[in-house]
Amino acid sequence: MSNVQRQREIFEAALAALPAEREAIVHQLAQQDFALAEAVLALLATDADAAINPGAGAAMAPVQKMLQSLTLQTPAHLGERDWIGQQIGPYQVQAELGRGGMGVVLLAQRTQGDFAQAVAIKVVHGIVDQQAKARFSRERELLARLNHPNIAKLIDGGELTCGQPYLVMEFVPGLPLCTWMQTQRPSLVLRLEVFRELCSAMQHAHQHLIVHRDLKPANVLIDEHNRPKLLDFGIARLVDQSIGEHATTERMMTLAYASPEQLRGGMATTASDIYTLGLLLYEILVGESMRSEQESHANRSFISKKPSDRARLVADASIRDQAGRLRGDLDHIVLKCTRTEAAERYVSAAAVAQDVTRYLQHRPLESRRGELRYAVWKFIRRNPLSVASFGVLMLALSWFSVQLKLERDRAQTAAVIATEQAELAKQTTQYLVTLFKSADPANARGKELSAREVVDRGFASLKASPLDSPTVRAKLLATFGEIYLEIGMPEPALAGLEQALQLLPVGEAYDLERALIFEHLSNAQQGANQIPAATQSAQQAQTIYETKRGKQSIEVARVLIRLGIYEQSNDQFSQARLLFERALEIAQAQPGQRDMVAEALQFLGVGAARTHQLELAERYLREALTIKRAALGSDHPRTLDTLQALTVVLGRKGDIPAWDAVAKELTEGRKRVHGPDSSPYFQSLFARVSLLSYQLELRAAESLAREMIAGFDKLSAEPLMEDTLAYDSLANVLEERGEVAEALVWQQRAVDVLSNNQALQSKTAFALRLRLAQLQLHGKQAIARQQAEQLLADVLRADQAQPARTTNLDRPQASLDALEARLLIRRIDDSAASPHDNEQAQLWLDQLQRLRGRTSPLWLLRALEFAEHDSNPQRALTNLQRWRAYAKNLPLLDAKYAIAIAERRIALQPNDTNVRRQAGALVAPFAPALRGELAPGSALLLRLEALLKR
Amino acid sequence: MTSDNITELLAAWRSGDASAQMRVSTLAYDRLKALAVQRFARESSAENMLQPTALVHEALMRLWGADATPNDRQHLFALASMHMRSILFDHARARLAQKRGGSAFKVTLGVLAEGSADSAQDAVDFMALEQAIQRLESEDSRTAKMLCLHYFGGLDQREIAEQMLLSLTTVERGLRFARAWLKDALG
Repeated sequence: MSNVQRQREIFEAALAALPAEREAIVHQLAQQDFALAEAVLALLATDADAAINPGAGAAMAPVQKMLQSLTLQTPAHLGERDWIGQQIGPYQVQAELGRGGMGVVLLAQRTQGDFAQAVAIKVVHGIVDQQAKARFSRERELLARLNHPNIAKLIDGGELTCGQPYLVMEFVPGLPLCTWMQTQRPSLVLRLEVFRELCSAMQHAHQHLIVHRDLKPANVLIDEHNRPKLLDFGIARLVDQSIGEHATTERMMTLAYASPEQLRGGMATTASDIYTLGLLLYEILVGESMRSEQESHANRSFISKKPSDRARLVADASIRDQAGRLRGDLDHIVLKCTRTEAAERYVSAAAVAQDVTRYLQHRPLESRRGELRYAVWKFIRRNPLSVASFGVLMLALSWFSVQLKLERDRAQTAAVIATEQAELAKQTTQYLVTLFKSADPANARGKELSAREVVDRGFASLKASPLDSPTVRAKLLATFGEIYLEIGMPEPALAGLEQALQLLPVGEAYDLERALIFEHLSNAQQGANQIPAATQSAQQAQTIYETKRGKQSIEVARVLIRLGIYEQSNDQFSQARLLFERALEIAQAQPGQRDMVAEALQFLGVGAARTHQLELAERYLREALTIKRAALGSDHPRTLDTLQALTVVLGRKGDIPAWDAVAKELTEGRKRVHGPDSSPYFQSLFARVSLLSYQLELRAAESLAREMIAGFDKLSAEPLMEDTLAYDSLANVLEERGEVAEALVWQQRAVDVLSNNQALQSKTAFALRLRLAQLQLHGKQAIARQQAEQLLADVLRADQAQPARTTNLDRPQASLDALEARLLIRRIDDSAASPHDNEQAQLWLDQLQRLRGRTSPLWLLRALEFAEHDSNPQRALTNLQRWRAYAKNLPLLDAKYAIAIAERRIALQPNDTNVRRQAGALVAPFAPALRGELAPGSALLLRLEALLKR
Repeated sequence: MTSDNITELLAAWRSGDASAQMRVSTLAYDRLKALAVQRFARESSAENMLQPTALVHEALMRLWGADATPNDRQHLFALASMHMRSILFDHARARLAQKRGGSAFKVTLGVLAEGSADSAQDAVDFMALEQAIQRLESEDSRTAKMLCLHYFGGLDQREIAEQMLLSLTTVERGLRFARAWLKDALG
């Protein structure tokens, strides 16, 4: 299948879904192919634009006409025949009930026989292809197997004279589920009764080996007795049916209610129906679909699956007031139905129904057994009056005797540990005293001790001193390990923690301590850049927590996030995402773990950003930010970390107003929290420097960049990673101002610092090396070319060194670096370029656009360079005009584009005075700003003056 | 003009009724002319330009000149769309050749331009459009076919669906895809 065909298939599937769903669906369907997804998203954006303004943006007249002609009339209905009054078999049609994707549903009455019977008749409309016929006869066959009070019955079926097949169904005089909820305002209990009956209908179908695959509110009618009927088994299939037709029909389901495995294009199973039941329950409880995205909600649906969270935010006051009743059990049922992993969901629809029943009876849910506090609370809730009576109390006690014994055992172990805690506290105090004594100048032979020396001394004396309890020694060693970690010394931390692990007594009683030490060890190993070892340690901790605390415990979630971070640092983004999502699921299922939820979201956001899914990244990060602001406050360093990640994403998107606002907030926050002389504050200035230069305030940007470098210098004499980035930042501004020579010096310095640290192969280094090579272009082309080629080779080698399981989704950064390097080489070789080479470059440029997004400043800059060197003047001009539209919020780029466009126009019609005048007028508005901000003699300024002179 | 009429006339023609061809031509002409005016013409008045009328005449001549007789109405317009496209393409190419040859003699097409610099520009643009359609044909022939039936043949969505044996929804989404794809490809 060609690339365009794949794009079209995904495009069409996305159109079938709600707008809010589309991005997710595209990513799901294109799972293995990131560039494909971006291409489709771009097409969808164009489609959305075109619906409003068909010809806009198209420079060419015939194209404009074509696009306008394609602005489509509302689709005409196929087979638009008037059904009313027609005779179908023994039935006479009385009204049209509705139309769907493949058929029309008619209300008809039986006119033969003694009594009048109303039926619903479903007819395929339009041209009937063989597939549609096959689907229809299968629906008939499947329905014939079912006999359940909550499933609309099949009465008859046949073919019209023209060959169109039809089905005669029981007519259900009732309301669609959503309308019923809005107009009848049923109580929570009644709504749950309805849901229970739906579960029972689904169970019946599953028992007959039929998977519905298209459960949604529109397929549920509620009759006047408030009983639901399940309709439309149009795309249902047998559980064991061969998957011959699977590909086509799977795509016909309503994506908004599809399970993750269906979205991925996998087979729908009974577990998929369970998932959809969960979505339906959510909607029944909240009155809104889980996946519907409502901008007014601060807490967006794709993040919290808990109905109680959403219910608090809906407009409907009667639902809002009951939000509290949803918390706990009903949250739990929805979450358990909608687990991403099919195996973790309820085993059957009957099991869902059973838990709903138990909820209605105030009895403990089957699936929450074993939570002692939960069970007792449920017991009291169920027996509010009799709980005080002796008999019931005895009963309760005997019921829980097993659990109580377990609790007691735990308590005894706790006593032992408490004694050791006390001992530990005493010992620690003694050590601290010793430490501070040695830090006292009097004891230190006249010279001041650094923090590190103080800790070193303590550590050494701990090793030398005899201690009674190995446990205490182990814990002290672990404490030192942590201190070393805190002061950024992973190696001694490793030694301490490994020793602590050996000393800790064997036995389950110490397992949790062991797990904690493993976590710290893992942290230290990461610090020492030993990622495989760090992963192993974290997995050890995970195993312990899973046995001691349960697979759904918050400790497990914490370790999963850690493991995800390691995968992310290896560019294993798909793997990392799975881990973060599992952590998120666990954290969301537990009360009071909001900041763990936010943590998982933040890393999901960072992962999305690093795979260039910027929209998704922004949503994750904003959600994390909302939670952190509520849980930790706006000025908490961790809240500011999220804000910083968001700043980066907005900058890359080129969303200038939002970027500006968030960057300001970040700078002010860092200043308040960390102080004006702190590294976090200086780091927060990166975004401001970029913003100022894009806003054509280059002088201000330059002085801010210099301020930043001076700040970092004051903090540490030895240049660190931050310093190199600051050099890069300044070099960038200087280049824009036209101070190329000085820019080169700073950029070279940045690369030198990295090579001193043997970090030349890191991704940051790739970016800096690329910019160095670009700067060389101003003079030494040969050097630039050589540097770019070396860089390309390094990028490709690094990419090949990735583990085999790396998917395409995982390597956008590598392809991006490679693309940039290739484009640069292409640009250097431009003079010798053949038309073929130009097309190749255009292709690379397109790929780059898909990765970076078309409003991204970095892409716009590259596109500009490409057009300026394009040997085809007409294409260059068209491209420049097209791309300039995306640069309108970026005055610096806008000015550069305007100048390039003016030059191209004059080159195309050199003798036309009119064109010259227009060209001058095009660039004149930028003249004051450019004259004020650029260095005299800068190339851009010269070009501007030349245009104005004519 | 009703759809059945053209189909019936075509059937009559196949079975030997020579006068049917003339009547089909008249019916088809009206519709293609309306299409040509709406889609391909600028307000043109210059004398030496090929008018929409000429475009349609030529398309019909090529249509009747071919061996195959259209099966029915849709088929007829599908064939006509092919001819309209190739005529437009030929003229655009000729116009560009003249321009390159530096011919001072202004022969241009009413269907493509209103004259002066714009006509050459339109020809350039039309070539770009044609190239994009060719690219689409090689990558996704179904979408390209839909697009041509609609644009050059004037078939509406229902007619395209019938002609290509597809559902209406498929056609609607397919054309939306074509529109977005073209817009991205050509700006």
